[in-house]
Amino acid sequence: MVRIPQRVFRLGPLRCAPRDIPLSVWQAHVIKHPFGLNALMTPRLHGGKRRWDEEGWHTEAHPVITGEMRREIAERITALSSEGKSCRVSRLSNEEYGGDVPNDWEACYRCPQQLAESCAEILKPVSGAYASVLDDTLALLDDPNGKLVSRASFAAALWRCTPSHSRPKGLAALSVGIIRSNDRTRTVARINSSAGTRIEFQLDGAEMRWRTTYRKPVRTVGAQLAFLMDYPETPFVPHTLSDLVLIPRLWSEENGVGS
Amino acid sequence: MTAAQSPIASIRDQVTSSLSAISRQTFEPFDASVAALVITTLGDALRIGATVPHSLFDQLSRVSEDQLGAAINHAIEGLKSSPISVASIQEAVGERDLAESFQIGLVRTCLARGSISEMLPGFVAFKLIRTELDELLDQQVTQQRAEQLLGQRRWLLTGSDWTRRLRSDSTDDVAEIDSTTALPLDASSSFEPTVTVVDSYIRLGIARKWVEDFAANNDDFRDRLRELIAALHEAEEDVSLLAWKWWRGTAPVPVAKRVTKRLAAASGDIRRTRRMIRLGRLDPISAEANLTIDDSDIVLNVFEQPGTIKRIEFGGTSTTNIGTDSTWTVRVASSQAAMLLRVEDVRGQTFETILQLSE
Repeated sequence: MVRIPQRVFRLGPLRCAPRDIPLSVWQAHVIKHPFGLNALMTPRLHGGKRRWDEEGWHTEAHPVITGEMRREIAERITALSSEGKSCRVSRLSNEEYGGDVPNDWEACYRCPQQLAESCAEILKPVSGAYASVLDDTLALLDDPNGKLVSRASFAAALWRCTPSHSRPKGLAALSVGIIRSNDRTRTVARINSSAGTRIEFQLDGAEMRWRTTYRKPVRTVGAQLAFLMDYPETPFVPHTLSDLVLIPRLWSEENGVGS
Repeated sequence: MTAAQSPIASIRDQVTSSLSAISRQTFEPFDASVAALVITTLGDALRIGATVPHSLFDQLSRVSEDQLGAAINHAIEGLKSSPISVASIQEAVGERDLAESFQIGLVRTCLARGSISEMLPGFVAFKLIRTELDELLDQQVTQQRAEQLLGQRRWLLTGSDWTRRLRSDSTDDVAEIDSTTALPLDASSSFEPTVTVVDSYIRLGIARKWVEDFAANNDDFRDRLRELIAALHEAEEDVSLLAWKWWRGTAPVPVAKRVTKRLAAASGDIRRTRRMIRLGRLDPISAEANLTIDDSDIVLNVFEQPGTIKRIEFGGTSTTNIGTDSTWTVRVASSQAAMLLRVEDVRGQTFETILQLSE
């Protein structure tokens, strides 16, 4: 099990307390996102080859992973063997890929416990930095650092930043809504950060349970604005936070965001 | 903080606030990504019926053709990078919807400039790539699934319906839902109807059981549905007889007699056009109806499942004679105020309501 976040965070009326995440689930996310398998296995309309670093985890001020780290880790994971079982993730070592998407690229979810534990040891530097992104982002909004404002006033404030092309930094915005999958509708809290990181939590009443962390590179001002305002769907029967967004109090005051 | 609004009102507020902030700015220094987002936001506003500040059109009219071309190229890059794997289909559907808004916003921008979008550099390529994405989406996702995957943006579909170009999922096809029998009570009352279903119910009376059962078990949904029907009625949009009955019980259904006047192009004479009002389904009878109003007459057309209807009474005129193609037609003078509509089927079931004509 992996325990995240490291401490209790209070985010307006919501609460995010440390919870155990199954190791296989956590490992799958580390491999998909910072390690870049998700980028490699997502063909684009006019694609060609995809690169492992498209989510941009190597561009952080404190990179979660670098190309060199990745090569070394890939070699070590590929060499792992436990009770006759070895890593079944296809194309783990590839730094770019443009072929058919193999069925077993998400094999981490079915990884035997012992093998997963050995893999977790190897991935520890990346895994730890990946987990820290969650804690650091939550800290931006933790009481009393966060302030609930209307989505309308937040949108207006973001647009006011654009003439100078001063791209917001250290900004995170938490919104609540629903996401739909084939089998069910979930209520989620979503945090979009100005760096392009998205963290989602399943919401059970006021309790937040982590479900994913990934990045969408925001290379342009327009992409960053659109990303920050990309909220989960407002249900037909709205949640009490549906029209609101929780943002850092400091940013709110500096940019004159009304409530 | 005020209570949360309906999703449509919420988006409209966000779009309006964005446009208000945008309209107080200039596009200098020019950034293609910002221009593309402004045009997309304008498209969002037009799709959802939000007010667009006139000063925004003034600003957009000053953007050069080359700059608009750069914004189009930015939009093209967005489409080209759409993921096409099944696992990431949600992102692709989102990109497609943004492209819809971008195109609508761009066409409106060109109107403000007195130019034609097709003449802009890159616009034809944009439409080709958009069509390419449509074809790909059509292979991977049904209309209903795409609308679900749109998330927040699905509420914009009330004003634009690109998803209808996708194949329909026959097990979830609104147009094929029989409003009385298609969904069993346990299933229909437990899933929240999608926006398309709610819209179809209000306008056509389709999926009545689903919508009304869900409303019966959910106070908030019931309140929102009432608000939505009231808003559409106030905006003089078609509200089906079934939605009206659910909302207002046995109160007469108001029907505006107003007929639009227009100048005939050839002669310059004033002509009155006929107006068609959809009344929707007539549950429990398997039929639906519309009214056609012109200067002197009101014509009721009822379209039945063959062999369903025995007798129709409308405005004091009754008939037992079916017309062609399973269509019943009753014509009455438009001078009357209140008109009883009564439809009886061969099994003895009836649908009854009063239509109240007003100027």
